[in-house]
Amino acid sequence: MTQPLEKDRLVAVAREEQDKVRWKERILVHLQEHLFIVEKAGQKVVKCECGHEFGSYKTNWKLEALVYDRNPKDIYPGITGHNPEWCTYREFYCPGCLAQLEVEGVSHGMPFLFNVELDLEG
Amino acid sequence: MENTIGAYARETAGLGLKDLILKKDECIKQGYYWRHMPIKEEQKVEYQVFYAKLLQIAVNAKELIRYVAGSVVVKEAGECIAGIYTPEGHAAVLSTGVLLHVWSMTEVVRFMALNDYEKNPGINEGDVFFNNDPHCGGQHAQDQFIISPIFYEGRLVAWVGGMSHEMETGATGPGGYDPSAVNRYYEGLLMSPTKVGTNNTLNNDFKITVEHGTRDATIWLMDTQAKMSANIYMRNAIIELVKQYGIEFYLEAVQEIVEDGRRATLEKIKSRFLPGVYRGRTFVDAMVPNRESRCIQSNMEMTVDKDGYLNFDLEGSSQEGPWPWNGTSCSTRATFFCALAQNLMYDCKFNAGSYLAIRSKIPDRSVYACSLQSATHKYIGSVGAALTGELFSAISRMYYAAGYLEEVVAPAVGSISTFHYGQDESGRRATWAMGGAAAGGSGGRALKDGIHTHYFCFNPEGDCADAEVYDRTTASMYLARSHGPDSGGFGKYRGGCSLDLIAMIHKAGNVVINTGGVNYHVPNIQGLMGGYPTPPLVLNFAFDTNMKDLMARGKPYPLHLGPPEETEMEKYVCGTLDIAAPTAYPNTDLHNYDLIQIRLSSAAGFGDPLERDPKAIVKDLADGATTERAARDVYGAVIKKTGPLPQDLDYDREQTASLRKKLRAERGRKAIPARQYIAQQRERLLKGDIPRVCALMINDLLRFSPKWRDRFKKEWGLPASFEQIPILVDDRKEPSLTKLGQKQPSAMLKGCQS
Repeated sequence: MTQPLEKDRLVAVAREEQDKVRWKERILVHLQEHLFIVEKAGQKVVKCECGHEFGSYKTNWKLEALVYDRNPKDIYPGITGHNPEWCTYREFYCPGCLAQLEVEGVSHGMPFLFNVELDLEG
Repeated sequence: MENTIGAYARETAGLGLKDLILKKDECIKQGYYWRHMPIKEEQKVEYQVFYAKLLQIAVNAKELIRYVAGSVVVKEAGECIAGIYTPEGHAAVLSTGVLLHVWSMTEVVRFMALNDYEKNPGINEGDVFFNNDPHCGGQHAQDQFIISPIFYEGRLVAWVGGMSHEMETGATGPGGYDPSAVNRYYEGLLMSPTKVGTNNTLNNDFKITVEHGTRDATIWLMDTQAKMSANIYMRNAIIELVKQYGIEFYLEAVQEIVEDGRRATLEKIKSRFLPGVYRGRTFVDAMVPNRESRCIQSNMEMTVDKDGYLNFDLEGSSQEGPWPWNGTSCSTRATFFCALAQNLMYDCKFNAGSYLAIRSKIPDRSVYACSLQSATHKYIGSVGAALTGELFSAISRMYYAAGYLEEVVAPAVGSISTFHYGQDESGRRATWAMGGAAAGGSGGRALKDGIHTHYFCFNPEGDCADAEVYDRTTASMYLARSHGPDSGGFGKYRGGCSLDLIAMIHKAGNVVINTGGVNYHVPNIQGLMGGYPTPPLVLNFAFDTNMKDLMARGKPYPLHLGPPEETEMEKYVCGTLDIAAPTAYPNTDLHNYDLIQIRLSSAAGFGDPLERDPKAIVKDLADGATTERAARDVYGAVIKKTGPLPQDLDYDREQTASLRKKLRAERGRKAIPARQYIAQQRERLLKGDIPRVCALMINDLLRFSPKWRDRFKKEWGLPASFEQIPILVDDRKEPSLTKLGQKQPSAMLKGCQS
């Protein structure tokens, strides 16, 4: 049987996270590690817990991040690492706090992936 | 319309299988499986008791398969499943086991119905049907189904089925694997649904076909008998239930159980998750021996709509190719079910009804819906594994955004096996697989680490099987099994370590071996929210070794992989070594005292590694789950000794804080703004300044998928005139032909100096 529904889970999480951050914009969704969708001046924007803002939640936040192409063998050396001729570990950092927000283990030349594109208008 | 308990029995009385299925298709088109639930609503306790009884029959049947089976992989590792199906062939209850095949058996029954099997060869009480054709159900030739109809007083009341994974199919390579395969005709006995028995007895012609067409018929036929035994057990138990509850109750209750699964899954999705689009993407290295290596993209978009449906679109996945890394649309649908059963539907009865919450668009002639002639036997460990990982990531992101952090888990899928043909200790012809597929780690979670060596995504309840059983029934002998340090993906919460194993051929003379594995050049399992992808598989061989001499003299021999710069195999063994051998290893001879070393691919990490609790790093070091290098360079932890024992460790608080500050600052110095990065990459693409293997994949995708092409051009800001990436014909640095690796001359090895 399904577990009891917790329809207020989203609200409870937002309330708890709101108490931890230093800024005042209302948290709508805790999108992923470090990142929130908040309400600001009638807009819904992606904001890091450090306060850095990435713009509308309908646009990929990675476009406003810092990017570094990491050689996979920096992380897993020698024969225990992927082939840098085939791929890169594309690391995305928050420009405000330099937290590592995402790593794409990606073949060279592939565009950024927009992992989560929510529809909060309904 | 009548809404009483006998409605289903009366409305379907006299219908043949095909008409039953077509009638059910109409129901499903209207948005339900069965329109009402009188038993569940009016006889709540009896409904649950009935469900529990039916479920117990399936669970018992699976254990019966294991008990009777002859193969290590079924008997010890549990690579099987049993299920009870509606008269239309939809799964009502399932055992644990290889969850992929819930939907596969539905596909087989449907195939038989739509191809008029009722008329020829006929579907009757006591019939036994076999299938291992992935275009009709299953993933590859190794997935073998035994399915039987159940009749009561002349009426079709159920289907029962058992599936097991067999290590021999009569293919050009042992184990049913051959990385050289370019079409299905390399894959041995591929039988579309076939009547192989009547009166619950296997036909002699089928047995002879298997005996003549495979290397190891004994095991195949023993496992077939095991599934037949399970089906007979299920049949008898179901007939008892029908007698106890009455035919009308039985038929109605089974319909309600499937509908219950549908409603519960939709309600769960609708009530908990935020509508939106969740995307996943990863890669597979396709290394066909003696041909140019290629890269395959797996691309997945999952749209959660407001009605609770999950709409999958695999547009942007690579085109099928002349390699064994292709999947059929049947196998792709089964893959959806396998992943979602584990992390979404697990408390929704996870039967065929749950699957009705899924809608999928699978591009024709892609690696997810290949044509009939394509080879498919490596689908499940490659693009199938990639898709499973993408599904895990997407569902985890869905849980995270909805506030259910306790449900979030990074993906963990990949595995490798080596497939052998030789003799066991008694001299019997034998085929077997090594690799401990069920001994990968599980992914890092949002609240805790993954677990070491306990998980295999396609069979979450699988077992690695005891080493002693392999020693007794194969020509391989384990020298060691251990947790591979740093084999789990790094992260705030790391993936669990996978199995390191090393085995020696003994008492065999000659063994033929090949391998099945990916995640070698490029990751097929991605990290989550700042965590790293799972590291690649490692495969090493030692041929013509001095192991006999080392053992006789009591000298050290390899028991672990050892440091990547000098493996224990290089350090201790004199012979011809193939270190970091390609994971697509073609048929090769091994002899007594040759060695095989494998590090399984494991699980991805979750979150930024610089946020990992230093105390957890100290514990991992003490447990041998990580190394000082990773502690320092990846986690930014400065470790100090506190006593004479290896586990007497702690971390230096001030120096750790200082090192982490330094590593964060380095990120800021090395990284560039994303828009600047995009501009640089655009120039590289226009000039053809990317590795050849990557450019070839992108150009294939640009040709194959107009939708993906438009998105690719938009994301990189490429001009409208852009069509293909220039391929630099004089680029000699790129990988060309996949070879057997680089065997090192013995004189260079330290192991030869002692």
